[in-house]
Amino acid sequence: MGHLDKEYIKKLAHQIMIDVNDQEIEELQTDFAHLLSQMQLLQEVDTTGVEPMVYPFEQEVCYLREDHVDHCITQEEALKNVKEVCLGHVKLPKVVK
Amino acid sequence: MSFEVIIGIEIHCELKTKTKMFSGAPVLFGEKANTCVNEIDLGHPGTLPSVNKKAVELAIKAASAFQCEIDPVLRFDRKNYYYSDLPKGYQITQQFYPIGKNGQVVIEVEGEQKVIRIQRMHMEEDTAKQFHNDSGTLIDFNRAGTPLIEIVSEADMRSGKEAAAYVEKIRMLLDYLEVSDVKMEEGSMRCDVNISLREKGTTAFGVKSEIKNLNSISNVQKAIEAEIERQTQILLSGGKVEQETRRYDEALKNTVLMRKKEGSVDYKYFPDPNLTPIRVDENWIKEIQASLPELPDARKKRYMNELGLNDYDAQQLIQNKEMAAFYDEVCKHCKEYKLIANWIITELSAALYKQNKTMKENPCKAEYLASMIQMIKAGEISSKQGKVVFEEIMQGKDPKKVVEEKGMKQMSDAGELLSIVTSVLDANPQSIEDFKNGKDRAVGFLVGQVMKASKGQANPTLTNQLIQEELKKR
Repeated sequence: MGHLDKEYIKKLAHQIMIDVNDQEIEELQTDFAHLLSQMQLLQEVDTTGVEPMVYPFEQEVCYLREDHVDHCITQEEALKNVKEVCLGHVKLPKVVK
Repeated sequence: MSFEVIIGIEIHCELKTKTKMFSGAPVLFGEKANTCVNEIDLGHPGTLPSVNKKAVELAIKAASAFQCEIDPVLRFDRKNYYYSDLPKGYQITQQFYPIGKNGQVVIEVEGEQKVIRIQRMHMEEDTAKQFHNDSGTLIDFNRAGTPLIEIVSEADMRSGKEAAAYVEKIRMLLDYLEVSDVKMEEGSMRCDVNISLREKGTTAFGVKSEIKNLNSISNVQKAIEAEIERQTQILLSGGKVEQETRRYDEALKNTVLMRKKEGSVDYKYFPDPNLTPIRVDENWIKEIQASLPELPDARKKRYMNELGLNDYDAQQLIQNKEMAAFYDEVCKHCKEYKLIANWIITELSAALYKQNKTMKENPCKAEYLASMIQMIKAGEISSKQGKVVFEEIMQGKDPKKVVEEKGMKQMSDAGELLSIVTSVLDANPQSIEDFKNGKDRAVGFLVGQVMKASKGQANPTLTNQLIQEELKKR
């Protein structure tokens, strides 16, 4: 993670589709540098032979949902928040050339 | 310079479930847009996924048929990317612990068997369907969340033919297992091919291109062959193959560029915090494995070893699950296995084709076909008459009744037949002369005459025998 240069921040921002200006990039660089240095502290802990822990509870579950239709919403409900509807579809600006 | 072709294939296949992979909304095709969805499929805030048991069962079936090791702990991860077909901004998949790994299938190309290794098979969810037109992009979320399995092969294939045989094998297995509709043309089975060339004798992989959206098995082969040619030409002229995604254009009979790959995309995979690991009961896995139907290879072996069919006939029958099932049904009523195979492979297939029907819509009753074949075998009707009877069976009629109604009974009475043979011989002295001069063809002509005189009812074998005997006497 030693490559927090301007290009990298821009690339990340582009991937999550936000715009950042030069000032914001600088601020992000400072914040990230701070965060990363804190993370460095963790590196000092010896984790040899320790399985990474992903979930707060390590208890396995066994629940699987039965394959029955239980809940379906109407087209009207599905499209309620949609800006532009066309023939029951969500309409977007063209995403391919 | 000659090249070795390296091919690996990824196959996505929709599972035959009633509901989505992670929600209880229905999975249906051809419904009105955005009517088979709920909040989970649309990625609304505050929703939580829950894993479909049937989808897991079908995935275990498939993984077992591919001889994969099965992971009894189901773990799901997020594949993050932003695109309009993906409402949550990530796809739930199994990146780190696929349900199946280290499997294999055996393919056969030009009489040679070859093992194609399967690296992994995992579960995931399908994306929404997009329609692009001039004014914009329309999105239907009905497909979003449909359960999928992705089957990833090792780069073990070396030609378009091997690749086509592999896809066909996977398709056939999934069809036999009834895990998926496996309709490539309708998109329930989709296939991406990775292909690269390297100089013969070298070990490093060349730069690969990926061909997407192949909609039939024959196009898999055609696309690969066109792509091999394209890459060969580039390399021979001293150029470099670029890493890119291409598609096959049927009209051009060539692959065309879709997009260049700018480095590998970072999907930032991580375990989905909304789905904690699920341990599946090992007994349930065993039960599922014990209930697998007879698979195509086993069926082919049985046809060859137990029923005495040849390789070609056995292969023709197993190629179509419904055809094989019908064959088995007819064999329950009649032991003439080879004859039954002939009738099904040639006559039945042709008749269905003519009626524009699939094997699933076959109107022919197994008992009727069996009883007709038995009549032919017993010499009660000739094969030629059989064809007429068969047409009636295809209309749902009982062959015994057809034979009766049409007065078709084959003449197998030697005395009755002999009188016809004698009169035919009397009327054709030239043929007798020809026979004596060593022209065997004369016999065929005489058999034909007897057939004509008996209105096609003479038993041809018996007629032949009688003519031979009578000719010797003259």
